[in-house]
Parts: sequence; structure tokens; C-alpha cells
Amino acid sequence: MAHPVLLLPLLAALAAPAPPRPSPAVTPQPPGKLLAFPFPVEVKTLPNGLRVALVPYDSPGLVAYYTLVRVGSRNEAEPGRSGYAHFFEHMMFRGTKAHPGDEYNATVTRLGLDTNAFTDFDMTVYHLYGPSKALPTIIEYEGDRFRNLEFSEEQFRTEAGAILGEYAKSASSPNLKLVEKMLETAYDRHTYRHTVIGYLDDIKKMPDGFAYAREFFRRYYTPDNATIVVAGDFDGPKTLELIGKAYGGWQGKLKPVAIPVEPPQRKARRAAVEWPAPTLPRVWVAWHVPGASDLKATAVALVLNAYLFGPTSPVYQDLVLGRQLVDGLDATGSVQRDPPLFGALARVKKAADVAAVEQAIAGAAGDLARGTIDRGRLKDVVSNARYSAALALDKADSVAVTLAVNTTYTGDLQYLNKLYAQVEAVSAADLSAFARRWLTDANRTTVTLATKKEVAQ
Amino acid sequence: MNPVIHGALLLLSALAVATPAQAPAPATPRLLTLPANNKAAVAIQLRFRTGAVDDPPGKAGLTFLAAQVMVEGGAGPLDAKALLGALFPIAAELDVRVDEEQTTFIAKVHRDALDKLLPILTDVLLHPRWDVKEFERIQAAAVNDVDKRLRQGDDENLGKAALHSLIYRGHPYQRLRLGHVSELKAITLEEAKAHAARVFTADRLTVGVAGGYPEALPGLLVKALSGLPVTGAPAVAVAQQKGSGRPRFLLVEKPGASTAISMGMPWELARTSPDQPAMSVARSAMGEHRQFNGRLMQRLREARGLNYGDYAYIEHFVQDGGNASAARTGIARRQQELSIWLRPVQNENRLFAVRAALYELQRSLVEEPFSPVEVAQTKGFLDGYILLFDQTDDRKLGYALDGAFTGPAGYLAGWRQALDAVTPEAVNAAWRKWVDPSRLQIVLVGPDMAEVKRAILANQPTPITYQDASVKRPRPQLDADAEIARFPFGATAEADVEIVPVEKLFE
Repeated sequence: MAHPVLLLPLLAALAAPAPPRPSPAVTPQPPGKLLAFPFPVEVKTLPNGLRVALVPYDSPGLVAYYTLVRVGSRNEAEPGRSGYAHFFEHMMFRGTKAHPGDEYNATVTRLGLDTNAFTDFDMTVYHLYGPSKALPTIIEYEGDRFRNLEFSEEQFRTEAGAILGEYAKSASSPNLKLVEKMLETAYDRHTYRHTVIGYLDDIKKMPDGFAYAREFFRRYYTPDNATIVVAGDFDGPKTLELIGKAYGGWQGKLKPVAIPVEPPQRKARRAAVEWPAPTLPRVWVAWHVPGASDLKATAVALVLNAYLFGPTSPVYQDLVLGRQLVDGLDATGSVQRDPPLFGALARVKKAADVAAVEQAIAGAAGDLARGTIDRGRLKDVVSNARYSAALALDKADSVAVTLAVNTTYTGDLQYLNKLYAQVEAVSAADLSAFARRWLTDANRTTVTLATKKEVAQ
Repeated sequence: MNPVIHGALLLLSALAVATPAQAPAPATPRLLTLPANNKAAVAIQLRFRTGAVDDPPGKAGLTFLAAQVMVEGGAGPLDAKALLGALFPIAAELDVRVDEEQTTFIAKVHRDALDKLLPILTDVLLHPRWDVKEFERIQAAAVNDVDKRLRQGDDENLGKAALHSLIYRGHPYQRLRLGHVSELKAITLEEAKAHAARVFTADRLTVGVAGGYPEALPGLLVKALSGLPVTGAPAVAVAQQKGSGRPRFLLVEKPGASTAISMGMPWELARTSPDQPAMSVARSAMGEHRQFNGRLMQRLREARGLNYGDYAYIEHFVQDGGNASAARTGIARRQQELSIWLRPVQNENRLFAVRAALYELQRSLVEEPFSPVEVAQTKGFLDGYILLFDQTDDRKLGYALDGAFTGPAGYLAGWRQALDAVTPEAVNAAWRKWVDPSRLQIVLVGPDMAEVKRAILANQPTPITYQDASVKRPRPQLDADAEIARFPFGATAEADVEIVPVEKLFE
């Protein structure tokens, strides 16, 4: 039972290894002051626009090497192309002329590295973690694949099968369909209306998308759209020199496709999923809230997620412990570049109670807008954020991923610290104002899931 | 970093293979501490030598349920709501994990808030409230977890659980540690309470402490937990499972567009076995968990696009959290197993995938032993990768506690050091000595199993259907495809293939 204030983003957990979230930071400082990312970061930008962030961290003999590319399913604006950012992440392991895929793989293996990547709405992140002595080779190989990636159409078509397999591994759980339905109901125009892994129909057509994938690479895999984060035990000047050499010749300028703006939602929406197998019914209530560039609103949303739906909230204590109508209640907020969804998802024990649970979740938001704030609980949420921050970032890998992920939202390497400074400052009045502005009936989308029989009843 | 082992634990460690009945029964808990450091977090793990093996007949899930009620149901002056209210502001972790032979109460807290957590933790062990309302809630959640989540919404884990139960038929590990649905439903509050008093006893406890803790903490914990009952239930004998390899197949009938596949066999290989370092190299070269270097991953996924991943294991494995390199600790066991996990395969290719795994295993034993290049590369990999396994204090503590149970002490460092002397000959000799494909048992979770059974018993050819038939594939791969499509399933008699409807599994 860990209850960090930053909650699992169900929305994002659907492609590749689940991206660790803006989990905050570390060590010997007492948790009185909230500096979520307490380590000094040395930043250098190469002439081609590539940014490099170096974070020394006490992990003798080990280093984490992360490359953030600010591209994700958010950039999949063309119809029928859902899932391409993630598919492309897979293709990045297919190698170059100098280091073909099997040689890349043999090399990172021989060096003892944990190697992988993940894709989310707003980002694709490539990572290697292992012995510091491998760093020169890592830099050479990573520089080579970001500049010179080359895969054949045969490889591309074969890899599409692995994506289908990745979809299949999640398909037995009702959550995948539930997320698909929530996104396409809550969003009319913005690309957040499809999941990161993409629609099954689009995945099945992926083998024919070779030319599009090449175009995707040209548009987004450019030095000015990437940030390298190195954390752990390494020689700073030497690392910068090697990166300069390996990536200096990387050319190209970001050519983003316009992402449709989501118009304000004017009327409450609702959808239902009929699930073919026995399951606990689910109800998910969500509201559109501001994107990451609105620091203040993002901080309030983070606090409110725990305040409204966390384990000490009246809703949780009523539904889970009091009336015991639900088996689990998860807050579903997340930080995203463009306006994300905020809300709560409940697994209900009996179909007959779905309406009551929905009312409790939606009602809590309404009460907040109307009523007074429990200042003691607000204080507890901020305290939880402080302690969570002080306990996280306990290894080089966590340090690197936290910095990479939190840099994607606005491009600012200091984003996490700025956000947490706002979290500290959230007042009772902020909570009410946020609820009045965003947690309204018209801005709400509700999706339920139940078996066919239950739906009929 | 070497753990400091106190008192009776030294003895226990030396007797790691002895049965519990022969071990001395001290009146106070054992203590295992790692040297205190200046980190913010304090990690406490209360490791009891009990688990699902102690569930009485007809009460599968009793240890798990009792432990959950202790941790979540309120303790001392705090009811369940107040407990959440006390933990939340300090972001303290309080959890319990129940495995076959080990149960670990886990606490992690900022050192500045340790004094707030400590009375809660000791109350959870000494004074759980056993409120009936909380018991019923947690019991209902446990039932739903098996009935709705595992059986209906988590095919990969269902396949693994079904395999586990299959290879351990007749063994204390056979029943699902989470419980069986009808048995969980029948457990009463009084039974849970009585069971806790029988298994969460001082003679079964090792108190583990690590991180930035104050000097007095270990002594305080041991003193407080000496209030536990001194002893309780007799230890359950865990004999080595011979494993007949029969039935060869267990087919779990369940609707779905894809099929989950797991295969395995029990064996006596242990972390203390002289063959362990060589076997670790073979295992990694065959299919390192969530990495790309293994033969299974390269040939099933990378060359053929059959699924998302294909891995091999030489001991029971659960990934701990989001990191591939983190194997869960607290699941050390005296009986181990070989397993192969093929992630869901489209139904049309499921029997091809089963055959491809059997084919690759066979090749690794006969026609294509691990090459010197593969062995050198894999040794290099493990030399670096093992360093990632215990980067945090709680993981170091978990490994030290595992070592105190099954041995060896200093497992990771010893393993890494031993790799240097491992030769390709030793890798192949060990692999051939331990792996017997005829003893493998195989589980499929998916639809239309009567049809699958017919195909298996008739040894019917099952050629691969490529998602994209237009791709020109290399000749050697196509030749191998043809061989794989006819590779023997190793099942000929009706009784070699069992079908079970998913509702009957773990019922």
C-alpha cells in the first residue's frame, strides 16, 4: 500500500514498458522543503540543436543513458496511422549500415546493458543502463542509430507482427477497450482520442506503412527535438566531447504536423462498453483539464487527484471501506502537453451499484465547487508529495527517467521543480476555483463497462 | 555490502538445506541488518518462514488472506480508515507479500517519519484488529481477484499459474497461493485469526533492516516482536517434486483472439548448485527476461513476428515493478523449476509457436549447442547486468534475506564472480544434464481447445501464417519453418492432453 500523490496514469499504461511517471525526488534533505529534483544538471546544446543534460549521481561504476524524443501518439494526426510513434520505437532497434540490428543487439548485450524504450502520448524514450565503462560505446552506437537508422521493408513488415503481439498481451483485460472508448468519447478532434498502441485495425494494416514510417522519422527524429540525459557515474567533459563527436553530424529540423485543437466540451458525454467475458463492471468519470504548460492548473490537478479520490478522501472511504460498493478506486490524472483527462475509475462489485458509484464520484467534484475545503486533508496531500519526493530517485536509472519524462511536457529541464513549487503553493481557494472552472457537468465524460447480460438488465 | 548476521541466523545459514524440524527454535526473532547509511529511506522487511504451503487442506489462500487482513484491516487503535489516514501523509509503504514458503511484511518510510510508522508496524503484527467488516471486504476482493481478474482478464498470468499448478500436482506448491474461489469464500474470520497465530510466530521470523536507520531500531523491533507467539504450526515438509511430465498438455478453454503459452518442469537445480553459474548463462542465451539477446526472442519474435516476447527461466521468477532487471525477492524456494514463457500468439499460430519453442530447445541440446561466441557475449552481459539487480537498500535486504533462507550468502557477488570460469563446454554440459524436453509440461490458454487437442494427438502439421505473406524470407528460415511445422508435440495418448474450462480452474 504505497500512496504517492502522483497516481498511475491508466491512460498511458498501454504501450511498451509503462513509463515511470513524474515521480519526484531524493535524499538527505529533510522533507520540509520540496525540491522535487534536487540534483544539479549541467546542460549543453550542440550547434545542431541537440540538448545534453548531465546529472552526476552516486552510483559507483554505473550510468544511465536516456534519449528523449518529443514525439508520441499525440503526433499521429493522419487518419489510419494510430500507433506509429510506438511502432517506430520498435524500428529503432533494427540498426544501421555501420551497426546492423543484430550487431547493435550483440554489442549492448556483451556490455551488460539493460536496453529498452517506451512510447507515450507525448514522448518516445530510449534507454540503456549499466556499467560506466560501456559509455563510449553507448554514445557511438546511439549517435549512429539516431543519425543513420536504416531498416528494410522486410524487417518493417515482420516487426508489425510484434506490435500485434503487444496488443494481444493486453487484450484479455477489459482496461484496453475501456481506455479506447473513453478517449474516443471524450476527444472529438485532438489526437489524444486514440491510445498509444493504436487501434487494432490500424495495427493490422501497419505492414503497408513503410513509406509513412520513413516520413515519420524525417519529421520528428531531429536533433532539435531530442534531449540526451546521462545520470550516474561518468566523466563529464569526456562524455560531452564524445557526444559532440557522435551526434555532431546529425542534421534535420523538426517538421511537425499540426495537431488539431480540441474544442471545449459543451455537454456531458456518455458511452458504454459491452464486455464478452465475466468481469467486474467498471465506471470511469473524467473531465478535460489544462495541459502541462499551465503549471498552476497542473499542480492543482495533481493535488486534487489525491484530495478527491486518494485513500483518505471521503469518496474512497465511502465507496471502498464504508458502503464497500467498489473493489478498487483509482485516480486517473496525468500530466500531458495538451489538455489531458482527470478523474477516477472504479471497479464496482455489482452492476446495480454502478449508478450510485458514478454519482458519488461526480458528486464529490460538485461538492468541492460548492462547499468548503478540508484544510487538514489538503495539508496531508502536500505532505505526501514531500515525502514521496524525498523517497524517490534512489538510483541512477530513476534519476535519468524522471528528468527525461518531465522534460517532454514543455521542453523545460526544470519543469518538475517548477511544478512542485506550485504544488506547495496550492490553496483551498485554488481547489474550489479549479473545480468550478473544470469539474463541471458539461465537461464530463462517463464510460461504463459491463457484461452483455448486465447491460441488458 | 555484506549483511551483518546475528545470533541464530548464522546457524540457520549454515544449515540452509536442513529441514525446519531440525533447525533450532529460538525464543526471539532472528535479526539481519545491512550497515546503516545516510539515505532518506528506512527499509524494514519482516520475513516469516511461512506461505501458501501452510494453507490447510480445503483452505487454499488462507495465509494470503490472513496476511492481507493484518496489513489492511486496521491494527491497535487504528481502524482501516484511520490506518490509511496515518500512512498517507508520510507516504509510507506498508505491504505484505505471500509466496509458497516465505511471507514478508514490508515497510518503507522516510527516516524522519519512522517513529510514526513503527507502532503501526508492530501493531499490524501483534494487535491486528480482525474487524469482521474489513475481513469480509478483503475476502471479497481476494475472491474477485482470482475469479474475475486472473481467470477472466489476465491470460498471461493465468497461463503461468496453470503451469505452476500442473507441474506441482501432488506437491505442496500445487494450490494457487492467492486461493481457490470456493475455498476462499468458505474461510471464516476465526480461521484466519487462528491461522495467523500459528504461522506468524517468533521462531519463523527474521527481522530485516536496511537504509538510513537509527542504531536502536533493530533492537527495538526484535524486542517488540518477541511478543509474537513463540511457536505454532509444525513446518510443512517440501520434498523434491519428481515430475512425471504427464499430462504433457493442459489446455485451458477460454475465449480470445490470442493464446497464452507457458511450459516448464520442476527440478532440483538451486542457487547453491555448482551448475548454477553455467546454467544462468544458458538461460540468458536462451531467453533473458525482457531483453532481446535470447534465441527464443530472436527467432520467434524478431525473425517471425509471432508475438511480443519469449523468455526462459531456471528458477521461479516474478518481475518486481516496472524494471526488467528487478526479480522479486521473497520468493526463494527449496523447490525450483525450468520455465519458458511465450507471450500471447495469434490463435492461428499458437501450435506453431509451441513447436518452435520445443524445436529451439531441442536444437540447443543437440544440433546447435551454445557457441563460444554466444557464451562469451552472455557472460559479458551478466557481468554488467547483475550489478543492476540490487541498486537500492530494499532490494539488497531482500536478497540477503533470500540468502539466509536458501543460501548462498552473498549470492549476487558470488554468481558474478563465478561467471569468469564458466566455459562453453560447461554451459552445454550443464544444460544437457538438467534440461529434459520429454519432461516439459505445456499450458495453452485460449479458445477451441477440442480442436487443438485433436491437432496435437494427430501430430497434425501446423505451418506458420505470416502476418504479411508478401515478405521474402531467408531460405534457412523457411526450411526451419517446415521442420517446426511438423516437430513432434510429444503427446500421443488421450490422457496426455487435458482440457479444462477456465471456470473450473482454481475453483
